[in-house]
Amino acid sequence: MDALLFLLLLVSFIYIYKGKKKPALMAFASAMLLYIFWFSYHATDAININL
Amino acid sequence: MLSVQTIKNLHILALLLLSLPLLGAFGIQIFMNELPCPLCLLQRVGMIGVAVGLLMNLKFGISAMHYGLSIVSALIGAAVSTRQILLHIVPTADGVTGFGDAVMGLHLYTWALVVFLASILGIALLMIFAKKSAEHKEDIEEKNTSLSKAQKSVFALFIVLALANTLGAFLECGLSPCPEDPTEYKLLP
Repeated sequence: MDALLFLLLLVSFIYIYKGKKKPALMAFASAMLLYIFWFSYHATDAININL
Repeated sequence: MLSVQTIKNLHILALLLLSLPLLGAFGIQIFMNELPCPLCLLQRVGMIGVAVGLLMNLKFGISAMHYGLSIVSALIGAAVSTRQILLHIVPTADGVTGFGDAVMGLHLYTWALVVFLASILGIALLMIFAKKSAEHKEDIEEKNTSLSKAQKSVFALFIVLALANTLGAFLECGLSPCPEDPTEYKLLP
């Protein structure tokens, strides 16, 4: 899944370089949605800040 | 008042500065064999995401929307690094604080938060100066500009960084979630 995130950003970079804005935005938006989902997936451990 | 060319040169400088922590983290992964944890990988994603808006400014002309894309990525990245700081803020029973080695007194996830906050500040400053330059409308609304050598170089740098991280993450975790404390590449013998 992490590799997919980097891959989507790589695709976005390539589309920007080629001058295709819409597909670049789609790849970026997909990466950000997946990014938030994957963060929430990993953010399940309790944070122990009680001393 | 700064010209559009000067603002674009500042973009190149910002992108080079942004690439430093990514290159450093990748160097630590390759040469010191310290594999990144899942949250560390997500912080790298955030930094590479910040570059998307800046590169769009170089290619399609300066726009508030492009800056917005970078800020969104920086904010999510800041949330990830803040979470990791809080996870390790209390020393363990044997007195160990933090995850991994500290670099210049701060752990990598703390440096990541500094980078994300500095990115947001930098983008705010660039937006202030871009707004001033908006008086030269014909300069701002240029579309699909041809790239200079320096601009092509930063594009190449970030394409290589994204490709290297894609391969690194795939070798480390495959298609499944990465282990919390990785010690070896899952797909390497």
